[in-house]
Amino acid sequence: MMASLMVAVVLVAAAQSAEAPSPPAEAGVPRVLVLDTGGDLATDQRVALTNLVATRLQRFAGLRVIAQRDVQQRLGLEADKQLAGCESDAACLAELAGAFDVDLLCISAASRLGGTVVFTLQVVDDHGEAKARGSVSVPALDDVAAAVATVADDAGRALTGVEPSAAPTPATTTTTATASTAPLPHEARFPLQIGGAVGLAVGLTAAGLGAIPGVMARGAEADLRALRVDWVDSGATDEAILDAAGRKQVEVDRLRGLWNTAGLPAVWGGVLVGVAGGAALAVGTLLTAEAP
Amino acid sequence: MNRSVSVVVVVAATLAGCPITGPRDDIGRPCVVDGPPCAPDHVCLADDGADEGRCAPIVDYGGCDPATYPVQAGLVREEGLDVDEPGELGFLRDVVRVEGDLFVDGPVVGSPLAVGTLCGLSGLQQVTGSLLVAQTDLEALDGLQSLSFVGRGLGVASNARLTDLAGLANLVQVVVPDEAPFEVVIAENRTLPAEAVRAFRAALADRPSIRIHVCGNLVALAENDAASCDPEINRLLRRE
Repeated sequence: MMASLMVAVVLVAAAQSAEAPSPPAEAGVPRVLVLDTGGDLATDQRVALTNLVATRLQRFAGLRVIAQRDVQQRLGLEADKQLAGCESDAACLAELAGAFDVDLLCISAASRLGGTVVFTLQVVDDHGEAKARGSVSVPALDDVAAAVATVADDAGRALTGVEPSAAPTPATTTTTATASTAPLPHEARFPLQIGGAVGLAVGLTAAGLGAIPGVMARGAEADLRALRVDWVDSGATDEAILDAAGRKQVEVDRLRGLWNTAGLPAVWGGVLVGVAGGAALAVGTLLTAEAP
Repeated sequence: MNRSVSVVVVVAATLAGCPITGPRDDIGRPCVVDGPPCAPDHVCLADDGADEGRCAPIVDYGGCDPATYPVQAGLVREEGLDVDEPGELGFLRDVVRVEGDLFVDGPVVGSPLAVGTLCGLSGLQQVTGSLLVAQTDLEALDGLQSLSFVGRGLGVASNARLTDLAGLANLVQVVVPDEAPFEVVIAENRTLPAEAVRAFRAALADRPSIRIHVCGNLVALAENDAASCDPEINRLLRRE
């Protein structure tokens, strides 16, 4: 996959790396708040990229990584309101860095641009000053992950001046832990929703089509009752009514047979499939809504 | 409240999801005159001499209650019946076909059989053997409007209070042995007026295959209506 990358990695971070990150006053290790990746990709794809960035940065011993979700969980609605107003304003975000007691903010976005996917990443300090910045453009969504890892690693190097370790720093696994507690993997949710929607549609269609002969049979029987009334009104003399009723009887027989042999199984089968599909759709939707 | 609504919904859904097998209005359904009967309160209406026809609802039962609706399933009695007690007519409730002879007759000597009416036979369409209504207190044959087929001759005899034959107006086919000179005999009903016999003949005018012999009633109507019956006929009707 790496070989197929048409990577245009432009790292400005290297130029800025000469400026060493200002050491945090408290523990000497800067705290980095990784904000959710923005852009126009699907939610679960952006969540995956957010997790990837956080995981890559966690591999640098000189950084303490905090996920946006962590802040939201701790501060609740207040954090939501503040973050919602600062999604694209670096200065505002820098102000928030102080509010959330972090030294750095990692802001990223992934968007489709023509036939390519563009990913950008920027780390700003609590003065709104960019400490690292990078972007990458790849032709296919499948290639984004590797490119993002490269960008995140380069940003980490620019911030710390060291190489990343093989594994994430143990104390900073919040984001990874959150992802691992999800009931289903991301890739399983879409098939569940799609399968559920298809099942629901097929079930409702089958039940609807299956009910047609039953409804028509009842209608034809009602026609027979009307013909009976006509027969009585005629004084039991108009044999044309009997002929019409005879044709209607043939229709009733045909519809009854169709209902009993095909319509009824279709209705029950459709109901069962529809219920199962609806349940799958509901579960998939709930999981997506709760996904990190 | 919610539970009631749930019960109604479940019941409706269950009924809606069941096979449609119940009896239905038989009007217009093809039938065979001496074959499987139509639903109760219908008659297998066919052209004279034809075996096949269409089921037609009975419009009027005369002095009996009108036809019930919706249509119920009919019963077949697989043996004949000799009704010599009024309560035995109850055996024929909802019966559409009797496979054998049906005799509704009282004792030759003594009080007539007190059946009152034949309304309990309103579902009866076919008697595969003979049908004899004799020595009863009947004033009319209402209740037999569904009767369309008799497989071995029909006799109405010695009903001392009988004044009306309209209940037999829907006869379609009456079968007798080849040597028999008639299919229906109306005999020795001492109070049966000429108008009743005339109306009965008119009702069956388009069925020349059903030959009617009338004798010994209140008034002789035509040349072939004898004022008194042949002793042989009397013996036959008395099942001697």
